[in-house]
Amino acid sequence: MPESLDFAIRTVDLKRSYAKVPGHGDVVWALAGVDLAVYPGEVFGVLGPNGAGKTTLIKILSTLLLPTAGRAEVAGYDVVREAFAVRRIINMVSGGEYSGYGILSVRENLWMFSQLYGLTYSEARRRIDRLLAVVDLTSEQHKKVNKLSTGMRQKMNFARGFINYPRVLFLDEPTLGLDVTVSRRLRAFVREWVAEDTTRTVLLTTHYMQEADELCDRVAIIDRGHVLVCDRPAALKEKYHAATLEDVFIGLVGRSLDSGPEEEGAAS
Amino acid sequence: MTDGSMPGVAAGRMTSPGRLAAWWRLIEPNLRAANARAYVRIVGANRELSWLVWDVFLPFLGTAAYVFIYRAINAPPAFTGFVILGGAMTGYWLNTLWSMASQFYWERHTGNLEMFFVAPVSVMSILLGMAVGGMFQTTIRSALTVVLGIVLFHVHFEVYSAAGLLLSFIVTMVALYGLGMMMSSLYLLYGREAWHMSNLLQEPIYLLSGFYFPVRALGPWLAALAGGIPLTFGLDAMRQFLFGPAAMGWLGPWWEVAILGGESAIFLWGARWALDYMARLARQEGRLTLRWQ
Repeated sequence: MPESLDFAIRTVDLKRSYAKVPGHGDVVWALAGVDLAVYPGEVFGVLGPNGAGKTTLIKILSTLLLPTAGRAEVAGYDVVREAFAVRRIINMVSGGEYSGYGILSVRENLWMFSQLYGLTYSEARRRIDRLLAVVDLTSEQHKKVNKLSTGMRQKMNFARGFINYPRVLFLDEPTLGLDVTVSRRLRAFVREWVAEDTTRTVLLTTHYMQEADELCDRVAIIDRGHVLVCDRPAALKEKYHAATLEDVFIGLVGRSLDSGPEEEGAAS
Repeated sequence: MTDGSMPGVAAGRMTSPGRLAAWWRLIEPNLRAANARAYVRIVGANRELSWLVWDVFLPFLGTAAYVFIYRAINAPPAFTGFVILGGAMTGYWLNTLWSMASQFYWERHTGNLEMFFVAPVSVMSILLGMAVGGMFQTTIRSALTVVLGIVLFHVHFEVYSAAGLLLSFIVTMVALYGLGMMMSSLYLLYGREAWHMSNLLQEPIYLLSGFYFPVRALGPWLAALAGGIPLTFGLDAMRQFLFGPAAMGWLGPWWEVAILGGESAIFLWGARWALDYMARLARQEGRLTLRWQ
């Protein structure tokens, strides 16, 4: 049973290591003790360069990866012991992913994924219609996915992430490779979607600082598996006397976001 | 909206209808998931009819070669039927190897595997959908092979026991696709090795299962070893139900059906166990999400 319904997401000293070379003792720490508390109704951003540990965090929270140490809960459910309960209330979208079947149409793919969540035909149809309109794919709904452009396919996957109306949605670089207009439209929908029902929560990872600034209620900046700061974007800018979140990041770690650590999950 | 609670867990002392409803809430999404995954195979695959060339007409050439060999050596007419039946059943083995065992490799490659594991359904239901879809698709292929055999080579099937034939076919399918589900689970962590493994298993099984000759010809020890592959007993039993004594069967057909029943149970249990074990290992090692290997 949920232990702490006050939090949509909570992590306590969460750690995850990977073997540098499989079978050998050397490890890199992708997460080196992450403490986070995200509240229902929030759009929460996790910002950091490539290799900071953002995707590892999402994989653990979405039950795809086991933590090495520490604890993580989603809506009060432990992601290790109560993985099934977590799966009933989450979904995730990763930028640049190509899930789905090329031989099926856009609508059929969305229907197929809706069935993994047990949606009835009529409910699935209603949600698919809405989501197709959101991602502007209504006119392409009967096109086979292997005929779609990369951007269109990504938009389809964005829609897929909302198909079960998850209570907690993980968006891992969702606008990666999408053009400015489409990205703006999708961001607007994320805000609208959370505002529709305040029990919904979005955890977004991005290294687009402007996206985080525009979308997130609070952000955590992480680097080398550690949370450096966590606050509202405006508060962070004020605290560090910075014009942008990127400037906040540079002020904290001494390098720009694009430079990244020298090594994936560099805190070894 | 779902509240995230496990079905039936909070229900306390439930009445029978309550228990039934809780059970149905647990089963229904899995049935929907299986149906959706089968849809990809049944509807999607039939959309591109080029499969008729690759899966029916080209393999039929290989089958036809055996027919001509048997005719050249004046083998009994039943042998033509053996070969056509073997050719028809070949498709199921290929489907098991390439569309079941190796399938998770492709699913991971495209990112679908992550989606299946994040969803609140058993991955066994995905495997079930793949199996049902694969069976349906391959049955069309097999039926076309039999029809071609009847039309081109005038094969005459003399059914000795229709019930036995149907039962042996069904139990062979359950055992075979159970094996496919187990292999798929075992290959969960594999990358390209799954592909190589399937390649490795393809041709030897043609020989060992007696696709084109009575398995009795292999001798008792080799035939017993081959019995681990459901098609060996499946084909032998079906031939005996179709051709009677001319089938030169190995064990009695009903014995073979019983053994296949046992294999079905073992493979399905093995698939469940392997899936749980490998999924946990994959979550530990972070290998559900590695795509390019």
